[in-house]
Amino acid sequence: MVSRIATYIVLTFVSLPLLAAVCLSVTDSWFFPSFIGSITLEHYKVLWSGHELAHSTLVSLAIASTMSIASTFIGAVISVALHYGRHTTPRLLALGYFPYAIAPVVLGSMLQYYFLRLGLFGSLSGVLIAQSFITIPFAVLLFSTFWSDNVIRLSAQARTLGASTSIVIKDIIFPMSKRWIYLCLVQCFLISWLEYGLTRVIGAGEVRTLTVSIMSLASQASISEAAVACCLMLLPPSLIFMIQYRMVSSQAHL
Amino acid sequence: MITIKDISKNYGNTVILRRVQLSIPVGSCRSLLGESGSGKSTLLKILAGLEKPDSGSFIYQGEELINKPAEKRSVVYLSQDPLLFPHMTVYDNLAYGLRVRKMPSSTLEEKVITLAQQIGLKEHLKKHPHQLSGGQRQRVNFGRSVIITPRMLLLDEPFASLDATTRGKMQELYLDISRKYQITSLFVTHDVREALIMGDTYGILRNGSLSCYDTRALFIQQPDSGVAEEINFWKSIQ
Amino acid sequence: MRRAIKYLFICLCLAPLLFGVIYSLGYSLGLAGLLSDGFTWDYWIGLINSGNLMRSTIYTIGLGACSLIIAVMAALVVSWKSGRYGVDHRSSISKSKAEVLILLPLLFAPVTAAFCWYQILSPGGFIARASFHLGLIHETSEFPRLVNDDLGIGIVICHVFLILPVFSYLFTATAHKHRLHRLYLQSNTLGASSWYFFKKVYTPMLLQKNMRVLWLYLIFLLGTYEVPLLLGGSRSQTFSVFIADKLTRFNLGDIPSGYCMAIWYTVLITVMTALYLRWQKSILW
Repeated sequence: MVSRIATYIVLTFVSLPLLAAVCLSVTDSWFFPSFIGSITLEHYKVLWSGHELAHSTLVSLAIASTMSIASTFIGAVISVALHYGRHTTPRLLALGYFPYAIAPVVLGSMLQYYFLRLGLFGSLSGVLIAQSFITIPFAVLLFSTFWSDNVIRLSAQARTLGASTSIVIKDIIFPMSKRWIYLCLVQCFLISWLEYGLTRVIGAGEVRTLTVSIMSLASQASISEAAVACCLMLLPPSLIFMIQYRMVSSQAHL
Repeated sequence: MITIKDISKNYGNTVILRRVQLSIPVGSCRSLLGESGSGKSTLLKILAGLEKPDSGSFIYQGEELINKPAEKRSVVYLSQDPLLFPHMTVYDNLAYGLRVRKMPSSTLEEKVITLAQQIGLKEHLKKHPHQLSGGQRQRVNFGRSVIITPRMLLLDEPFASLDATTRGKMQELYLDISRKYQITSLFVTHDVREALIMGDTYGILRNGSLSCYDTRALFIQQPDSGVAEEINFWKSIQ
Repeated sequence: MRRAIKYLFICLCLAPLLFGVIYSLGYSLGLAGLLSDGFTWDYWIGLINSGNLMRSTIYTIGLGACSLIIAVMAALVVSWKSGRYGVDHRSSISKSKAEVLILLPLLFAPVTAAFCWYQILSPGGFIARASFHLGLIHETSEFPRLVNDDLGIGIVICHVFLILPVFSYLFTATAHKHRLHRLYLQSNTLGASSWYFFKKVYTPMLLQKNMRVLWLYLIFLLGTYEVPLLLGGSRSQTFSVFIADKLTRFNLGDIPSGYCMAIWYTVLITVMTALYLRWQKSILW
């Protein structure tokens, strides 16, 4: 009995924020002490009326997609250069942890002077460059887990069979690393999609992603619109999670 | 004739290979006996172009190969565990070297099917490596190497991970195919019986130094070949 | 070409941090920025004397440690339950549904989670309204302060929410990998109770196997920004909130102390990361 109650408490704890976001996004006139105000879908309509939220969603999607594709590509190129045909020293890879460990907002705050001088402060390109400081080392670290001893030896085997470096990359490395490429695309997308601190500091409020919008709507006490933004924020991760879950389930069945 | 002259390799202060010299007539096999850590694998990797020696030369029919990249040598390295490309079928694995050489597909298919028949894998061409047994995988590995008729095949204890029965069958298959395709090979093993079965000429590598024996009699006479011990063992249990 | 790319990677990892530290250090010592008039320790002394350095350090580490400890304890229980040690399989809730539900917080950005928890825990929030309807309070002022409080209760709750699924999954996977279920049965045959096994084998083993990951999470928790920004109080500020506050509001007088704090935070995190890397594979020394 106690165990069941504990389980329900934990499940309620993890579900509460989602329930809160969904409830608030469809509620109007949420005055104390009414638990739920009048139900309406009005707040979602702003997405089709050229409201700031629609714009923020598109900006977030554009930034996250760009970061995802660019970081995966650059990370893969760097990874091939570091690992192809040899074992890279772990010390070199260890460097990749440092930009990732420092809080993005602190990194952004320390670098804002340089962005100002370079004319990148408050611009989309500035935000993209700043986010790449985190996503590219992350991509390199992620790809480093691909380069097992087996992959390095398979590449060597292909070379002795006459394959040039470009053929080895095309025929062996690329097909074998598809899972890592997918994972890297997803993870870099999510890092960028969920990012707030660095975007706010380097974007200076001019680059309005969904996370920036949530904070600004919350501070303006536009609770329902902020809740709509929260629900929108949850969509891509949910979609990715569902795809991932299905993939794992189907593999488990095989 | 394949000639290897004065190949040396050091890692820091550790000597791995000390002025290694050997020659192999084209179409024959030299067995190389050596304990682990004697420098066998390093020698093979240098010959395959996967590692650079500190000095030395590697001459095939008068052509210097030592500075050529691995992909231009046509010297294939075969390791103990069959390194098959996991995302390719048996057919694609066998055809890999021919495709790299841009062979027309009709000739390619004919060659692959003939070879698959010879190595007893015709029924398995559509399978992926994970669907094969250890012995079958090693056969694909071997077939993939001989199909391109390389200048030289370097075998690094290729049958070490197989059970005794499969190992015997593989040795027979190798001898059969290598004769058919006139393969020149360097066969590294630590098993004296295998060295005697596979080789036409012999060598022993100890602490980076190689001694070569061009006849079986000379090889057997060597106290550290282990042949005398083996003979004494069988005599003692009779 | 390969060498050039290798150096590009080194630059990419170190240059932003290095440039940031150089400018911040210069500013904090009076050598750079609009206020620069020669080398001085004044800004550092000012920050130390104001008590902000000590307060932020204790507050941030305290919040991080509290969040970590509570999340670890909860995750241990969750993984124990999902491993079904000594549980009649028929009596528990549908396992797959519960296990999927527990991963729900992974979908949340910190800013989203912070906003939602604010709406749940604030004096006008869901819990306060529920308390009102249950007759526990009669007006919002009677509701205990759970957000924007000095103890950071809301921050800890939100942090626990965000990291609980990660640890639950981690512990469950570790227990599975190290076949703790077999050990449990072995321990049972030796006469130990479930609680004894949980206390003496399950918990110590999982903590020991995952200590490095916990350390890494502590590093991340010291840098969280959105959660303390929305849910934190006004008297104490975490490192990131303090730094961003001082450096982005363009109050000239505040900027040097922001840079001092940024340097202090970077040194702390660099040391902790270096320790982690050393711990991980002994790769740095």
